Amino acid sequence: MEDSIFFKEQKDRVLDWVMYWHSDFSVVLANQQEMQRMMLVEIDETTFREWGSPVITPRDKLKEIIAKAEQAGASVIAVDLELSWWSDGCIHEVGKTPACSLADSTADDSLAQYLHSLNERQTPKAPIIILTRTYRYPLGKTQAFRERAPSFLDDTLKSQKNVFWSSTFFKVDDDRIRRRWQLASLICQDEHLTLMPSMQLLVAMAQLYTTPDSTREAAQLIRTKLKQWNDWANTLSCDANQGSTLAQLCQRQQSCPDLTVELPKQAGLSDETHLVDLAGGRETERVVYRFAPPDNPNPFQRRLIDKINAQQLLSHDIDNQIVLIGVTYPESGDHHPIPIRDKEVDGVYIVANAIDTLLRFGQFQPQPWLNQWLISLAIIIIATIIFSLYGIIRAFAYSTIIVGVALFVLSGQALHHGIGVDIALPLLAIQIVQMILYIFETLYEGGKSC
Amino acid sequence: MLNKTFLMIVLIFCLDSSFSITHAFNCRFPVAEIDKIEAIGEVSILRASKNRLHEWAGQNNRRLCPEDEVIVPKNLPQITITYHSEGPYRKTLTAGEKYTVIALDDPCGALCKAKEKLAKLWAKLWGTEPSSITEHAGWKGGDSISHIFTPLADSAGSAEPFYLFAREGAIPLFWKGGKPPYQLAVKDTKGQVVVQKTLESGEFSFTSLAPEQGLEYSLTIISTKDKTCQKDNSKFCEKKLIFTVPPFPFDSQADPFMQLTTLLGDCQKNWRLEIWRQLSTMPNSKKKQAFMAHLRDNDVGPYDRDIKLCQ
Repeated sequence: MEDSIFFKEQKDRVLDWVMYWHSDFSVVLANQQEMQRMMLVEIDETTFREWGSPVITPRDKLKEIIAKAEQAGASVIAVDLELSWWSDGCIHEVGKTPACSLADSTADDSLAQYLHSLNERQTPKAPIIILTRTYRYPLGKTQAFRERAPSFLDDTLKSQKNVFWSSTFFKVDDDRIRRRWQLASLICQDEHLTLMPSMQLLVAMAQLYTTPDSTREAAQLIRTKLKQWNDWANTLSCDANQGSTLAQLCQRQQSCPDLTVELPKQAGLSDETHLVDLAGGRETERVVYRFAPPDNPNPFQRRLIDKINAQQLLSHDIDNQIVLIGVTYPESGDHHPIPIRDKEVDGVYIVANAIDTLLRFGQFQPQPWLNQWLISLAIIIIATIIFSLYGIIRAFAYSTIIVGVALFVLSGQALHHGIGVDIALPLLAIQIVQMILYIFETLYEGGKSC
Repeated sequence: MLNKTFLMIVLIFCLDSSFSITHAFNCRFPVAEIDKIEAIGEVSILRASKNRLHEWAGQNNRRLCPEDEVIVPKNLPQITITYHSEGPYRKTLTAGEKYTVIALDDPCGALCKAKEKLAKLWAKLWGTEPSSITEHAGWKGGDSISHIFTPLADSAGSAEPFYLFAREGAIPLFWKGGKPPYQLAVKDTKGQVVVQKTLESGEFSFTSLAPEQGLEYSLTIISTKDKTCQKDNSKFCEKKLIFTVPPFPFDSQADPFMQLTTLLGDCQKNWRLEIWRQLSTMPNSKKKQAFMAHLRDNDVGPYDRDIKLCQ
């Protein structure tokens, strides 16, 4: 019963509630300093209008932003913009004639060449660039795996050395809230599978393996992992029967390789080493949201993510921070509900919180079974005592209050360590049992008096 | 039910207090930084956390904590300090200037969220809009006195001037924060006093006599009791009033609210005081009240949702 969708949804909502109250804080590391904030370079409404409200982010402007971020000292730059479209507004597929009017491709070529030069750079401080693109389901086939849509960068970026492709898929629940990530996805490419790591995973790996002097170790590690994963994935056909997620595939396939990634500690970012399992499954996929633009903006409030308008980037500097480039203008349509806000937030904040989750505690951990068992036992004993001392209504109220307080305190504390606490179900079970007993007793007493 | 609510509120309060205590340590959370310039090494910082011990700023020593004092050398024309605040706030210091870094409000924690929830619940129960969901307490100094600020100015940024139509008529001013009595002064660009008043309340109607286009006044409001303006150099006490032409011709036959809404949508200039001025002269109506509440509550977006937000 605990594994039913209904109860999973209820557990999600309880955790949402706890997350809501325990969000919007600065993380303090062991050295008593604030965890390094990420830098969001936002294409906001001002920039958007300044550029003439373009439908597609102008490629020359994007090149300029990446170049400025690189010159300012960023070692990891993540571009949360889908880079499949050519500047003419179409995706150019082989064998198809795009219906878009012909446009000058100079800006596309220039960005491609610039990214190519970054990709080939071997200097110690060459930045690591994480890009994303459109992945879509094929037409007229079973929709088990998405396919990579062509990109204007494909002809130039033939290999991944410093510039890496990633996915930005988040699971959308029935209430449209994005609660879970897909740490790595399976993509169908040339009739075989390809493992596509998520943007948050690559950013976390890149940043945590970057030393103050060099990004080389980080780039090398990503290349090695990608090769290792894809040497395995490429041997598999795009057959949905073998499983469509890594977790399913590894349950059914005996030959599943090591799909774990060690995220080491790093001064200013993370106090502990975390081991992340790409096939960890649903329980580990929760994004623990910590920040987002406030529902009621207060201009005097300290912010938890550094943010700069793309127009102002030139006059700013970046201290080895993770740089995210994303859109925040209202017309982008990239706004989604999240547990810690009443209003929808821009997609780039979801990616930022996913990166934050990985840096803080790797993956979300289910409660250790011994703790869960002890807490459940304690609740059952307390609830039983309460039900034996008070009438049904009072007992309901008191047990709910106690569990409410316990839930709030325990879950909140656990959440700060990336651990989920589930104590609502044992209480609910006791309450239901007591209610059934009460009904039976009432009926029995009624029957006797007749 | 009451018990549960009480317990929850106590619990939320305790948790929020614990967060506030952790935030109070000096200085894990820098609130600002000096923008990079070549000669940054010549800028002095007196660190509040080190009993005002002198340090030189540098490319890797630019972050500032509340109460740190920044001193610009006389040979450096200017430096800029950027605050890590939700709203854009930058402070430009000129040669020889000293400046004490001010504190920012903490992010909205559990207590703040509880307040927001209660305000929303209240609004739903009684069918009114909450007068102000977020507390605009202003900059915090060393104590908890809220500083003077003009709600109509907040969304456009504290340093932005008010633009007014160059025409005769009363300009109804109002402000919040600080402690009365207030000393209000309006000066022209030459520094000559146009109006000077000591006031017991946070409002004053100032009448300008047919100002010319391009005329600039400087409005200063100081709380004489706590000297908040002198203390933190807050710009909220000092606003420029610029008289100019309307950005589009006003049609006397058209819907005045539509025209004011369009005016509010002007992202280049803050016309809120002019809109307030015009609304004040209109006959009372629900629409007028709603519009004024929108301005008073400092809603960032324009009144009409069809018009895109200014950011």
